[in-house]
Amino acid sequence: MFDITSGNKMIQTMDQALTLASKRQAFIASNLANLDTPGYRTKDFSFEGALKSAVEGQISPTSLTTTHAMHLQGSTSSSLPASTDALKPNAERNDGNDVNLDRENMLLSRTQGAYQNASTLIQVELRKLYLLIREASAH
Amino acid sequence: MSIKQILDIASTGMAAQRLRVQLIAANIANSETTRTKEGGPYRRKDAVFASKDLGFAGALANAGVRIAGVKTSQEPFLTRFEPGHPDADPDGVVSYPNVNPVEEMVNLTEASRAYEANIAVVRAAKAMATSALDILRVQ
Repeated sequence: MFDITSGNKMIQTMDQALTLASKRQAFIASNLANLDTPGYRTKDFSFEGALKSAVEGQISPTSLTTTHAMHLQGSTSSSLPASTDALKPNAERNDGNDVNLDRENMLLSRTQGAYQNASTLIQVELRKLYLLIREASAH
Repeated sequence: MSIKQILDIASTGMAAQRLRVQLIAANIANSETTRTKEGGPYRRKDAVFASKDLGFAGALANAGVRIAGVKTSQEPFLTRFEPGHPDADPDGVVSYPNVNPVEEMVNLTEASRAYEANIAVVRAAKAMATSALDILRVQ
């Protein structure tokens, strides 16, 4: 018996993408909540970079020790990249706050789109598996 | 679960902006008030924002926002020459609150835009949660 979903590269990658997109959305929520907080600096991380390192980490995972052939490997949970570098081009206001409403709004919908893309791709993969199982059981 | 984090962060932003609108409403309502409990005309009140620790790990440690305090403006009162007014001084000059309606309107617009930005975050988080649930609908 093998795990039909964790053996699937697409589902695994999109799983990471879902996690990272929702994490990034939390950063955007924080930036928008602190729109008027003096001295607050924009928090963000590179979605592409984080996904890339998550996927690369998947290829050579720090695997769990398994003492039995039936043990699950367990997916390596990608830890959030901690860097929250200040954005260079952002003009800082008089109160030391550098949140840009337009940038955050744009990122909000873009990240939402990325999340929905990833979830749709997972759904497509699962539908393929479902059709496969249904075809097999029909005969 | 990051979707819950997103909603928590956005709700602190909404609460902070709502209190700010309440203060603006008080300022506009009292723009002609010459008698207060503390004595003298009404003084303009303004919210001071500060970031808030919601107990999230890593870079999201200070993700929320809170009202650190309400600042009472010490700017000079507006004066008008109204000798018949019961609160006029011996020279016939009445001190009116240091509320500038134009400033209040600008702040009101800013606060409601910031509130809307937080609403947009909530809406995005809801759409993401829905699309994640859609993964279950394979057939």
